[in-house]
Amino acid sequence: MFHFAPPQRFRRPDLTPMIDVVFLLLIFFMLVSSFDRDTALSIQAAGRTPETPDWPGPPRVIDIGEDGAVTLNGGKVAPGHLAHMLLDLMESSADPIILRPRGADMQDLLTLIEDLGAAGFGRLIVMN
Amino acid sequence: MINVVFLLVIFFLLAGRMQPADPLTITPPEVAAGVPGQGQFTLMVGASGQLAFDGIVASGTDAPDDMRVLDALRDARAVWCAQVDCDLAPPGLILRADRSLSAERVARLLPELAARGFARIDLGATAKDAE
Repeated sequence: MFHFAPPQRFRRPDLTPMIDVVFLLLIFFMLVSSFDRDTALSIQAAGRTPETPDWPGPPRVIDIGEDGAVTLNGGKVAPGHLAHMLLDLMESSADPIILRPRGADMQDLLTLIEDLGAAGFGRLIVMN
Repeated sequence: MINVVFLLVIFFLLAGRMQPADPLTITPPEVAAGVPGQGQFTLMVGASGQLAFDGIVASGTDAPDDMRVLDALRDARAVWCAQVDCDLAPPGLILRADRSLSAERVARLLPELAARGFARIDLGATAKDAE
């Protein structure tokens, strides 16, 4: 009689090392990825360029004071009336507007740029 | 559980975005809407006003410190323009400034940037959370 070895039971591969690696990958990607939603608002830098056209219409200079208080051409602006007052000075809403920070911080400046952009004014020049 | 962990790994792979850590700690201003900034170069201005570009961080806010960073930016633009026709497609600049920085500081920088060939500048911001 032959005596065969007892039949070996099928052994499943050990999954533990792979799970360890997957956990490490998970922790790596959790730490490394960022979910900041970066956006940007466009402005034009003040500077002499060859294609700078003549300034259309009357001056439009907005001074931005502390906490975002604005004056238009040196005069006070009632809240919410800036767009109307600007349109009175413009031939079209594509005309340029000058923004001058006077004590404002970047948050004030970008809030104003965003408000003006929402009102349809696209050509904003920031200068000192 | 392993299936869930796999799903999490795939989620972070797809949703997250890997980027090198900024040399300056900057909290950009918040805006409600905006488009992703378009620019080949990113100039950073920290809360105390020092500039940083591509790993070069100004040690202070004096004019020589500014010039060192701005000249590095000009050189980088020149390298870029040697490969791409900059008259046809001028390279953009993203200016990431801290929200508490004086806007006058940025306004004084803009002519310097214009003189180095950046006429159109994107001011970096972060999208406000929907309320």
